[in-house]
Amino acid sequence: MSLITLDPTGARQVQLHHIAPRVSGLRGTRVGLLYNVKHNARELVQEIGALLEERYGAQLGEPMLTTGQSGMLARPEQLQDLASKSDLVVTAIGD
Amino acid sequence: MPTRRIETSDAFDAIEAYFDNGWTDGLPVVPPRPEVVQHFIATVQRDPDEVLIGISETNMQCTVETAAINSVMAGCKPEYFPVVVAAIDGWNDKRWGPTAFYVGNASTGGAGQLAIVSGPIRRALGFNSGVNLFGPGPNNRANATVGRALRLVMINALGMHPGVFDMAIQGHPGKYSYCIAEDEEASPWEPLSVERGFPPGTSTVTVIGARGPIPVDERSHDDAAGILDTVAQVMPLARGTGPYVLVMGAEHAQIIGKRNGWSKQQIKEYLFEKTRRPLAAGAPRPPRATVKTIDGIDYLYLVRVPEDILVVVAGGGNGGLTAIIPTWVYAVPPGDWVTREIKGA
Repeated sequence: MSLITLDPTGARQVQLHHIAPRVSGLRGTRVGLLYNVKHNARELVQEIGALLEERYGAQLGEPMLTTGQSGMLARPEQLQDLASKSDLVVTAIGD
Repeated sequence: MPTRRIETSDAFDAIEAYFDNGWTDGLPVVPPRPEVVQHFIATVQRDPDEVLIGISETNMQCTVETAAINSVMAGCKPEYFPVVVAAIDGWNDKRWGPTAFYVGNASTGGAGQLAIVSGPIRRALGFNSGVNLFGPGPNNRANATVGRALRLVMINALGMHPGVFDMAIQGHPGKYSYCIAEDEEASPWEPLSVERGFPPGTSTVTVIGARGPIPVDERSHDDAAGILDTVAQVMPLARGTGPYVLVMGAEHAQIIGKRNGWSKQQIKEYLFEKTRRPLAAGAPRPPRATVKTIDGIDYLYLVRVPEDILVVVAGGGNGGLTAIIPTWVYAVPPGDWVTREIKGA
């Protein structure tokens, strides 16, 4: 005798994603900074941005983009806007 | 792809196998046999493969069949399943916004998912809307198992595993099960379903990302303002991130609504004003918050609009108590709440 039961786990969504094109160097590269408004996130990305500027000649062109509410993810239009103004983006969360 | 079948020697071995696989909330589950799952699916007019909700961050989806499997595991009766499906439909409501449902469940804040059942289905299925409605007991099968089914869906079907995608600092007991029914019979006001725009006699479930209930014991006043002033003192301390739910015990509801003649809207507007606080000079105005200048002083309101305070009558009439439930990352539009009709009921 045996008992047959069903697997309760959800289906995996399979989507094909491509890695973003790599930048060839950092000098003159427009760097966008994105943080999630939580404690220390701003300081973290600011410091990374400053190092990229100081050591590698990157350009911090645009002001830091925020979502305006702690913990919320960036909206698609915010990401599109940031992408249009940046060659690469550094993002981090804090808490 | 057909759902994977698990073979064990008996129900006891199956229970242990589900523990071993992490397919549990920490309590033993009812082994979900295929023929029983089919009974559950038959209670809703939906394709078993229909996706009810997906979470892109965990890369997982819950179908009607997966929801049914988890409902069996939770100990539901088949006839409870339309309530579970309606609640999950509510989780997928666009009013949450693109990320708030995931963020609210992943957040360190530790919210659960509250489901409030209204309409005739409460009595038909034996939901408890009275004494000890948040607690355990033989009269609480519908409350306990529907709420548990929703949590098992969250863990098993949607991949919100504690410590991985659910990073609650502490969580709260309602994360095991958080489903209550409205006591429409003891309420001096219209049911929540009608307040939310459904015709009388419609059964609904309202879903809310919510922290635990904070009881406000107030047995010394027999006037509305006296009771509500105490509630207003506690609300700002019961920190949430947006709207507030008041689960008002029948005694408070009778005093406020019947004896003193206050409407729900009066309660909301009274608390809206009572919970505002002066904004310090030069302090930044929080985004999307309501700030009003009165007699030259800027006041920050606890909620955006009075309708961000939901009043639901539930709980025994054997004492004066109202529970405050702060919401967590419940980013619905101002004054809105996600209420869905329970179909197939």
